[in-house]
Amino acid sequence: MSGSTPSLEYIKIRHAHRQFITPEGGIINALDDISLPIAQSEFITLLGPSGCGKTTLLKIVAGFEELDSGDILLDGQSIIQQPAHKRPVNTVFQSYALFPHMTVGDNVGYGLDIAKVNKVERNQRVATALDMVGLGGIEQRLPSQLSGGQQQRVALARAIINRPKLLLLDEPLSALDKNLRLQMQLELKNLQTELGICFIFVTHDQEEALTMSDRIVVLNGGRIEQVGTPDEVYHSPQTEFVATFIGESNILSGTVIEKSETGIDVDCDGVTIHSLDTTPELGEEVKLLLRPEHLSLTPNGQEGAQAQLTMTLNQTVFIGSDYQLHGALENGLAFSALTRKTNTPLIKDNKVTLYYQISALHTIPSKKKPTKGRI
Amino acid sequence: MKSLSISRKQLMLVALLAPTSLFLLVFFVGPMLIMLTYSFLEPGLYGGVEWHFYHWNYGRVLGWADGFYEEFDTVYLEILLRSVGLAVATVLCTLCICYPVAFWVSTLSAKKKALCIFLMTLPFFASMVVRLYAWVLILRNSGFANQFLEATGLITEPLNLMFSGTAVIIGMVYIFIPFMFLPIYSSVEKLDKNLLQASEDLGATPFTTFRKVIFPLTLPGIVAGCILVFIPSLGNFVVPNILGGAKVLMIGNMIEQQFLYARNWPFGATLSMIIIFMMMIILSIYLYKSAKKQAAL
Repeated sequence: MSGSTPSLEYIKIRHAHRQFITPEGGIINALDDISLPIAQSEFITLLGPSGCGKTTLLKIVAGFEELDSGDILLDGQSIIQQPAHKRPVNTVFQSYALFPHMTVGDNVGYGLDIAKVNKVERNQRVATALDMVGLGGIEQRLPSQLSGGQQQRVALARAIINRPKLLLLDEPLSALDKNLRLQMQLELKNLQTELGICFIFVTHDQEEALTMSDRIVVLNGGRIEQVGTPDEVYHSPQTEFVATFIGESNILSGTVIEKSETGIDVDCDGVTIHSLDTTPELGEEVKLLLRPEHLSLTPNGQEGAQAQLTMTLNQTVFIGSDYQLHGALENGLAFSALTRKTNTPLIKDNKVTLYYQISALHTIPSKKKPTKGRI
Repeated sequence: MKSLSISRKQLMLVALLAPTSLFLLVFFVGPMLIMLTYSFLEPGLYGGVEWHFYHWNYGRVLGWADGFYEEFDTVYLEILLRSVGLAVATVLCTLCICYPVAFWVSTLSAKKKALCIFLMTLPFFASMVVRLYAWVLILRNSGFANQFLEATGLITEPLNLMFSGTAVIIGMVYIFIPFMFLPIYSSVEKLDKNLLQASEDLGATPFTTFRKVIFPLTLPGIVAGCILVFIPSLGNFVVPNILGGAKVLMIGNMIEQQFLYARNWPFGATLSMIIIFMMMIILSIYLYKSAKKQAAL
């Protein structure tokens, strides 16, 4: 994770603070001491619920908002004093923000026209950019004649034509329907690899973040909860927020009542769970994460020790490949599992046995030291 | 069954439109046709009309009156041109005032916006004549404007503000500001603020953004406002009557005089026809252009 080559710190956000004052006079910390280095050709996603500060951070990088304190360095140079139109940064807006009175060609060529690039080169580059997003030859059409997905691609072509050092994407896929969104996710990732420039992608959709990102920055309440690869963020969440925000999760909290060389026993309101993690001390409060997909109705473990839990079924949802089972454990804790159908009858109020690999349990570190923005 | 329902629909449409159409036919198209006819008739010596074709009414406006009675005289042409000049000045002044204000209002909170729109329409609640007499109190030699300027020491002698082209323009600007403001405001309000950020993001300075994005997108509102102000200013006779006195005669006053005092209805009708004709040209261009734009979208 830690690297010393300069390109890994191509963009450096340092101790960024931004406060907003609500109409009622309260103070909201939109950004609370955000520090984050970003590599030169990285696809990084800012993920969080609405109001977590992700869009504010993006707008500050673009130059539409200002920092209260802190600094942003791009290639070693501070950019926060530059007005938005001088920054080598381009944005794809959530609403696309295509100029309705201009043709697609003029929209895409807007940045080049302003930079006074000569006509021949301009038309050439417009055609190339449109080709890259798979919309060659539609220069003469107006944005209103395009579908949402096409408008999205035009906005993308318009943003990359200036060859920015950094491309910002503000929830660009949120207005598309699901199939198109999945397709665009892959195309965006390919485009980023092809261009080799840094993409900062803002989304509240965790699936989107997991699919595309090299790294995910999970934000909550203006603070960084965790920075990591999709795999790390999903499988080793550092806080309870990350565990619950990304993916479905069952959180079992309890006290360590037994500790040995091979693991610990945690008492969660009467249900005892054995974990292989030996770091927590005896008597410590711990939170254990168990993803629903790690539970199954049949014991089918070839490797590692298995454990089981008993759940009273409350609701069964068929989602195509699997069944979602919702219910409660013996101690009343709401619990869910994602599993293949078996011969076990899935009837409400029935008791079912759920099996899992003990190694699938992940201990969420206790909240004493909140993770600051660092790799 | 289907044709029956369509004919019933059509019947419904006719029933709904008939009263309005009939009213407009009798009280709008009818009088217009009478005016058009009158403009081609010879005025009688003691008012009234002689019922035969007579084209010198139009000649008279352009200077060549009936050579038998009158000499070449461009006074009517001058009045017409002055009216156009005053109307254009009114349009430009209202535009310069309303355009920036519209942007300012669009940045306010919803509550304050509603208040501003209400304030804009507030003058309609009082009679225009009363409001114009208020301007007499402000502009006359012993009026508030001169008192203020003298008190601040900017002038020693009162300025002659009344009975001038300036006074007429001030009055007309005052009267027609809402007509300019509302269409401009609606186009500014529709302007997507993200577009301005997008323009800036792509490297445009604020001025370039204005030239390439803001202005073209608010142009429909500007054009609509200009037409809405130009047309009534051109034919206006109340403002020049009250604030312009006898010195600033506009075509509206001419028409009023021809009908009420000179009792030359054919000539009054001719002047009216000329204004109507000018406005129809402007409106046709506007409609043609906007229809073309609609077709392009």
